[in-house]
Amino acid sequence: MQLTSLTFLAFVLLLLPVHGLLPSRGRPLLLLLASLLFYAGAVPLHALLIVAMALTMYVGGCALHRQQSRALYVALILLCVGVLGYFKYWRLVCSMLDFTATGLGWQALHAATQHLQVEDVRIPLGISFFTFEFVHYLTDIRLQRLTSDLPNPAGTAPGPGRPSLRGARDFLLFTLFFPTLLAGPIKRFQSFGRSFTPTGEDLAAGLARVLLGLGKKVLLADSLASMALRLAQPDQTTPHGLWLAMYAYAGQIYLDFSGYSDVAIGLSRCLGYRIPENFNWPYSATSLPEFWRRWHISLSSWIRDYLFIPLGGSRQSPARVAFNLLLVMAACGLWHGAAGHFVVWGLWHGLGLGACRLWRRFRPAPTAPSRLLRVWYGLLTFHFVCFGWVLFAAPSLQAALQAIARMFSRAH
Amino acid sequence: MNPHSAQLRAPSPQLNALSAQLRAPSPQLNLHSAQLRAPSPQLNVLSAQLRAPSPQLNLHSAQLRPPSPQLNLHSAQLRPPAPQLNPHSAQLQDWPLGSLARKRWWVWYSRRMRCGSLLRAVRLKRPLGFALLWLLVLEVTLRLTLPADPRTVRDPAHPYGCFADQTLTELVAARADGTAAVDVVLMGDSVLASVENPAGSKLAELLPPALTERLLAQSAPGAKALPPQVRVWTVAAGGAHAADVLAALTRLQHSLASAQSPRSRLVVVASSNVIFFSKRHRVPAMTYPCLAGWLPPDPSLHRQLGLPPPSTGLWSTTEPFLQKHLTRHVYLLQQRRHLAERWLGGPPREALREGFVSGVRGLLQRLKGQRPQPSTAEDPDRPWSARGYTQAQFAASYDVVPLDSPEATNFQLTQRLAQQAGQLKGQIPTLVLISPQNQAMLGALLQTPSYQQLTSALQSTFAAHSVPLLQLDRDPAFLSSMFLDQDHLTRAGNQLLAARLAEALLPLVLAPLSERDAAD
Repeated sequence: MQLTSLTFLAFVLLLLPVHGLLPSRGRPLLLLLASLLFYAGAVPLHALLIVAMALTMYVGGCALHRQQSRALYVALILLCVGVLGYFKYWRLVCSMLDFTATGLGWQALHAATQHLQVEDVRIPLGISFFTFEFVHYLTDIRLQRLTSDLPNPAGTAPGPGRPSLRGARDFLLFTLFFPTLLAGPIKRFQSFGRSFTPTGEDLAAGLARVLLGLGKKVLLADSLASMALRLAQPDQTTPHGLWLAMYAYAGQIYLDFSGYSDVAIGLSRCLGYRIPENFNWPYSATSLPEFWRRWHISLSSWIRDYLFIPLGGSRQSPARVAFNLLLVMAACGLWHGAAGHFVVWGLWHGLGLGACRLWRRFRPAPTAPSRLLRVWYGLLTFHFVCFGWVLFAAPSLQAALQAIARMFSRAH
Repeated sequence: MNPHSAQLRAPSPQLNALSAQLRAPSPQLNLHSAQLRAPSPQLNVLSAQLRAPSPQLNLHSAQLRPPSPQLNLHSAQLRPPAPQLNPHSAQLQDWPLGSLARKRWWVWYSRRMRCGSLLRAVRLKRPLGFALLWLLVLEVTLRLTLPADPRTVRDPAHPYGCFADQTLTELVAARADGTAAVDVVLMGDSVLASVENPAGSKLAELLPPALTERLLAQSAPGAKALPPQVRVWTVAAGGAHAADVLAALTRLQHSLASAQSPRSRLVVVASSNVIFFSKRHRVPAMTYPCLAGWLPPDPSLHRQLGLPPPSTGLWSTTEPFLQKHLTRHVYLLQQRRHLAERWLGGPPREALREGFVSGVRGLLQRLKGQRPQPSTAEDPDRPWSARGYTQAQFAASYDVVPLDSPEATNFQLTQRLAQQAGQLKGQIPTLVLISPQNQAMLGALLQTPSYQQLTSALQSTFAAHSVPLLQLDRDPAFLSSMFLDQDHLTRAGNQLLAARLAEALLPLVLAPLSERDAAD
């Protein structure tokens, strides 16, 4: 079910009055049932998978909270990452193995990859998002950031501890919460726990946010999409057309994604949950690090907290930090899609972030840059990001490079 | 009636006296404010009086409810002055554009609405109700002013149209009225749609006389019955690949199922353009994804075409159900196409894109110091050589994808099209046309093994399903001067194509007519 569909509208219009009429203790259960229906209505089998995974993570999290076992933590992380890998990256891994085997003439490996190749695997909805939420949950328990004195989503019982039905319900709701299931933001268990009873003002402000999001998505992003399509056919488009398509895609992807986030945040507010903001005028950033503090904030903060800092963060040598940046941004690219051009997009940003870090090391930023300088930095950052979008939007790496080459050619 | 409100409406001498005290500069007020500035035991006494239940205060508050001057006197001093907020300002602060809204249009709008109108109460009390009221007014207005739109009712998933569905609607309506006619449906890309030709030079306008002439020539001398009217319908659009034609053929079959006309015959010309088998035109494999619903629900096929997988599960049934019923009954949904056509001249997104692109183009020309010149002054029937085109510009269009490659999507879809046309030949006889190509541009490419392999594979594919094939890509009668570019034809080219098509269609048109005559 798409957030812009009539089915979703009907679903929400039925849910909101029932939610408002129920006493507050019954609301989490209603939301859980609604979320289960939302998910099972698409692919019932996948709903079973996500429920099974969430329960496993919950029980495992409780055990981890009691024992602090490293082996258990690693096993649980491998399980959730393995499920993501199977559904999302298995075909990529097989094709890469096959490519290598064919290139090296290893017939046995070639035959094995042909045998392992699975066709028509349908990726469960939102698997990338809830896998990251599982990793956050387990890691925070492991690092004791999620202690039992924190409120759980119902706000009535302590967080991870002994497994209980109420705790399982709350963790399932955290995982399956339908407004954020399809396109995020990536939630944190701690902040999701602070639910409240929505007032009339919450309802009005939430619905206004939903309308704003729908407007961004339906009126603007979808209109720009047809212009941005030209990036997929660089050899049939003039250089001017490709520049236009690049800017259109920059607008489309921002409006599309932030529109979905607005719908999710607004709807969550109507239902009494505060969801983290995901975008903060990212194209007004004057540097690439600032862009990543403004773009898909929930993902970039997740990557910072659970990938970059565990790898050593900024306290390593400059070369090591630059390498770590490349690594985490490549992983970020791979998270967006199982294809080479997404990885190259991530590497592009990793290179940019590393370059910014080195530049700042040798030439610290002025304390109060002039407005003209800020505009210049902003334009540079925006265009760096836009060229990244060409890598992101093209159907293949070859097409992306062809598009960029054509943008700078004089051919018509 | 509330007794307090009655008291409030009646002029109260006590209230007047108190408010007069307030209006006049009061030495008592000054005294208090001076006292407030310094820590004063008197202030404490006053505030203690305020906290304690005072019979005098209760008397005033009961009578006056909101403005108790004595209370206000002290509380105004104790509290900072509260700004007079718009009732929505709290909500506006939560809006992402709240600050902008407060500053500009919202302030203007709020001022305009302070004129005591009926709607003001609705706006202040129930903003969502206010929005619903406007929607209701719009719905009623649309119902009163616009006729029902059968196009959106038939295909509610695509309210602004999909792949020449307007022509399809007209065809279904024409066949439903029972007129004896031969309907020829041109289904394919821009060559059949004649998008580059002006009115009067289009294939759809040149084919009826050509086919009528041949039907007349075929009828027996002295026969009483005149040949039926020939109507040509262009269900074609630029860039339509084999996947689009396959889906459009299925859609035509479903549309005609409800409009059977025993007195008229229908034949389809499905075109296949060799350039769509090239690496250059491989992507997108389906130019009109709005037709995807008419493709077989095969996930591998959808993936191959770069489409989202066909939806399954509960929501895949509820969405069409809601779309169908809401579009049928709610004019706000049904009349989107009418409104877009009246206000924008077509689908809004295309109109927006065209406007934006032409605006940017004009701006670039201005920046270069050129004046934007309309292209209508030039003769639209100029051949390619007069347009400055070169062979090199189009050479990549004939770089054929190897047919055994998994990327040969258009060839695989052409095979499916041949199969579909073969199955439908009893109901909808189909002629497949390999559209003419500019020989001067093809040049040596004609002799390449990949090109020859492609054309022979196409012949054998259609022959295997007994589908008639008219292959004109290497027809020398189509002179280079008959082309606008690599494949689009001038008026002379369209005339020749119409003649060729008429000849090829004649057996298909006559066969069902003869059968009908035999049955009569």
